[in-house]
Amino acid sequence: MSYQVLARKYRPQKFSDVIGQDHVTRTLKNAITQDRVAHGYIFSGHRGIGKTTVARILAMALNCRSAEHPVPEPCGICESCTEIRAGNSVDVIEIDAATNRGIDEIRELREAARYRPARDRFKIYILDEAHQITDAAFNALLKTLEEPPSHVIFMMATTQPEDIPQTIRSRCQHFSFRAVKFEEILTQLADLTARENVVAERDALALLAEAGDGSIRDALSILDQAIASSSEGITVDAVRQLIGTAPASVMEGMMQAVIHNSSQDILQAVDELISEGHSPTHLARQLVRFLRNAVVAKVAGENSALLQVSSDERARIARVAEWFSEEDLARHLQIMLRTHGELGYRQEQRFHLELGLLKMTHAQRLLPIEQLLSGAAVAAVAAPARAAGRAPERAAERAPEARPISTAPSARTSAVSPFAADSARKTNRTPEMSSETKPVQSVAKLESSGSPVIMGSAAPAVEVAVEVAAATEPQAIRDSILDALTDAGQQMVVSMLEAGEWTLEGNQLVVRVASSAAVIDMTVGADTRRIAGATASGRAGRPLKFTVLPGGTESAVEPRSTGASGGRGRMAQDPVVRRLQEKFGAEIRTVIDYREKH
Amino acid sequence: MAFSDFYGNAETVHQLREMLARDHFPHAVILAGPPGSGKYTLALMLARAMNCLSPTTSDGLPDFCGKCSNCTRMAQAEDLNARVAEAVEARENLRETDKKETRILVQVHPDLLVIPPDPPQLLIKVDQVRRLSESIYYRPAEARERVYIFTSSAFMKEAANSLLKVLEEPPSFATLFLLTDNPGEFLPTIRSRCMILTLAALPPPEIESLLAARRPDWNEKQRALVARLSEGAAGHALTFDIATYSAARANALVILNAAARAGDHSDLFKVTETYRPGADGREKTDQLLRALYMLLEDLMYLGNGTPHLVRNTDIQGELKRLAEAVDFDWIVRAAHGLNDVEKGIRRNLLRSLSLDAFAATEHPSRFSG
Repeated sequence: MSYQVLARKYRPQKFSDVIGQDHVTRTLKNAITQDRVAHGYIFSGHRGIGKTTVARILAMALNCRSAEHPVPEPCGICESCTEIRAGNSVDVIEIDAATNRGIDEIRELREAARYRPARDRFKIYILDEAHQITDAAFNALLKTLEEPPSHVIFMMATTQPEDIPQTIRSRCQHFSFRAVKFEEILTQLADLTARENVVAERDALALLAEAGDGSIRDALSILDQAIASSSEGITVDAVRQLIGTAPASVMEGMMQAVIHNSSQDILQAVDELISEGHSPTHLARQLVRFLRNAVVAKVAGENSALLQVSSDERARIARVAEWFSEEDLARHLQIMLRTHGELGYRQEQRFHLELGLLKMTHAQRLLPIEQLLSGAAVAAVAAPARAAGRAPERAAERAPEARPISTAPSARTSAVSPFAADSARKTNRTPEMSSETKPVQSVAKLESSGSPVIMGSAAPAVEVAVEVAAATEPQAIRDSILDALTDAGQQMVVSMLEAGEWTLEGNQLVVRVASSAAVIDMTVGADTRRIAGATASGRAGRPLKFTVLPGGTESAVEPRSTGASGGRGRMAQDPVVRRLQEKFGAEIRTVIDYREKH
Repeated sequence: MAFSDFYGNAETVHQLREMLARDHFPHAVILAGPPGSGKYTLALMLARAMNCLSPTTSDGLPDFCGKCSNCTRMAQAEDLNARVAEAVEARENLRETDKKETRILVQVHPDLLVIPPDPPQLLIKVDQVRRLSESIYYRPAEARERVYIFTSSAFMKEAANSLLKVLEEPPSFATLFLLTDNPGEFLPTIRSRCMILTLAALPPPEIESLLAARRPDWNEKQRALVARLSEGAAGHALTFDIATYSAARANALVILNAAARAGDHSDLFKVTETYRPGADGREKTDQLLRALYMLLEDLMYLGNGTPHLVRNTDIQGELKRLAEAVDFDWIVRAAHGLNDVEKGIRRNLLRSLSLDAFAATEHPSRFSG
């Protein structure tokens, strides 16, 4: 068929026609005028931004017969230029390196390179998709590439320059091509549609340019399709349908469902979109972009030049950015990015997309970590109740229409921790922490426990006050046993016993733990009993029997108060560590004491 | 046979035919769509429409007669599985040394080359692509257009790369079709050189009406179930094997039940034992995995207030009970675990063991106890 796609029809034939690669074309033109043409070039960059095109233009410029010497712009009419364009020049040999990748082909090339060009000035080898050449073949080329005959020039075009050996790269000039800017693609598209006598809406072209994603060929492929599918002019709706883009309002609706915490709305929306023919991958990709733009709008303001979208979409993005905090947006973006990545290689795409979207609603219910840490002092009993009541409350609060934008009361920030201040700065939601009780509670706790809440600073390891006098003995024994067991590598037992209730009953040391008898049997072996018994007896100075019984309650892990056994004991008392254990169930794995090392 | 026999996705078909009519047909087309959505059928129809000796029109757009010598010969490729099976059998009879060198290609017409993934790895190999790049520059012998159809996107890396140059600038008389379930599987460099068209999933009612016409042997309930289970793929729905699916689903339910609730594992072991290693157990395992995913998705629908989207409508009661036992995090974990199972099976882990491990690790009480 005589029809040629636009990307081929309008392949640039002059350096000045190449878009968005000024740094390359300028350098090459200067090299030609100054007669400093290298014998090896590597052109690398994304798909469809002009690598092969530039290689061909350079070949034309070098062999152009319009002058006695290489010219900075090929004439495009002489025999050499037309032959190169048609791909049948004798002296410009374009090789599909992906198919001819073996050492035999390269040997052949090396042999042929010794002979002078048939007619033109240079014998030029263009190795396209050069990353596919095998290692052996590359190595066979090394000597030739280092000191080729003066009439030979090699050009390699590749999307993966890292696959080309260092030794090859160091023998060539390497030009890396940039992704073409949105505006540049847009201008080019407008230009081409005018030349093709096609009527196109400006916004439709903007959509096409965006879909090109920095690649001019991608944009042109879709433009081709748009022209082919619409007989009268290109409209936004037609383009949207063509590239399977859901309108931005859908994205906005999704994010609204996320704040409203309404899973069914999301699933419903996905079902509708899919039955309309949208592909899950495309939806995920669009949402990633949308969220990325929202993050940009949040950080840099909605009028930032970094937002390359139409004005209508800009307003939407700004609205969505308003609803969420920066952290939330970043988190959602991360979730969608991962989902999008997974969709690429998974079979059940729809399922994974839905999972990803639901994950966002669930993530929306999470507490920011700063709040969790700064709220650590709040009594443990209050915490679950608060967390439970929190999600709906917060969702209601965040509904876009009923959203009071107030900054945190200053009185509050001074009382708690630096994190509260931080979170107040970053979020503009009404913090439910401003309920009057909270700062008071934490202050009270500060006084009573004496352990500092300031975290991250080098808080000195304050000895926690010894609780009850009677408990000291089991407490001391407990710590020695736990240390001994830790040293013996029995972490499982340690973590179980740590949570148990230790009592001394006559000459029996009884530990009541929350686990069942079966689990105890499995975990506490003969070895453990022997070590524990021996340690306990030694510590107490009298024979003690060590027994583990079920029926204890899960209690907060008490710190072991041994000062003697080095870093681990001190570590366990450190307020920061304690808090991490309490809040996240962290466990101490390894203790490295840097003071000893130095 | 004519375009009117193609079911669903009228817009995409219309668009393709219009491009044909205006002589604007691109040189390389990616047809994407779920398995059974008619990608291959459509590509073959287009090939015939391009080359029909007595072209007809319908609705003002080009069509094919289905009777001329080009049409009839190309139509022989319609039953691709049979053609591939013949080719594989022929290869089996070759000498051992030749076997390794020989690749499966389907050519029923001198100007139509169908390139299926080469068994046993089921990948398209570089030799197959070489065959294309060698022959593509010859003018068509009896037709107007040389047509190449790749039936899968599972390329060996070298094969995909060696396609790039030809794909960018094929001769004016050649057209390439690349068929895929997921365009994301192609190299971005391949995607950027092609026009991508998607055959969308059809809504269940549409499939139901199709089934009512073509599968009268099923009762209404079965048709409704199949329409939902076939995920919008007409071809898939027509050839749906209810018995196999029910068996796979029963097994999947046992596994999920074992995973969701503590208790006796003997049922589980009895089920997983039947998933044998080796090539013979592969299809059965694939079906099980699909059924597992399907059930998980249904559980997710039930747990999130959209019960009308549930596909396995006939066992809704059982699903509801299961849905009460699990929460969203469990489903996420299970989906993750299932992915691991899939990965493991691809690396030839023992199937029964992977499934046992899946059921055991997704136990919800693992974290609370």
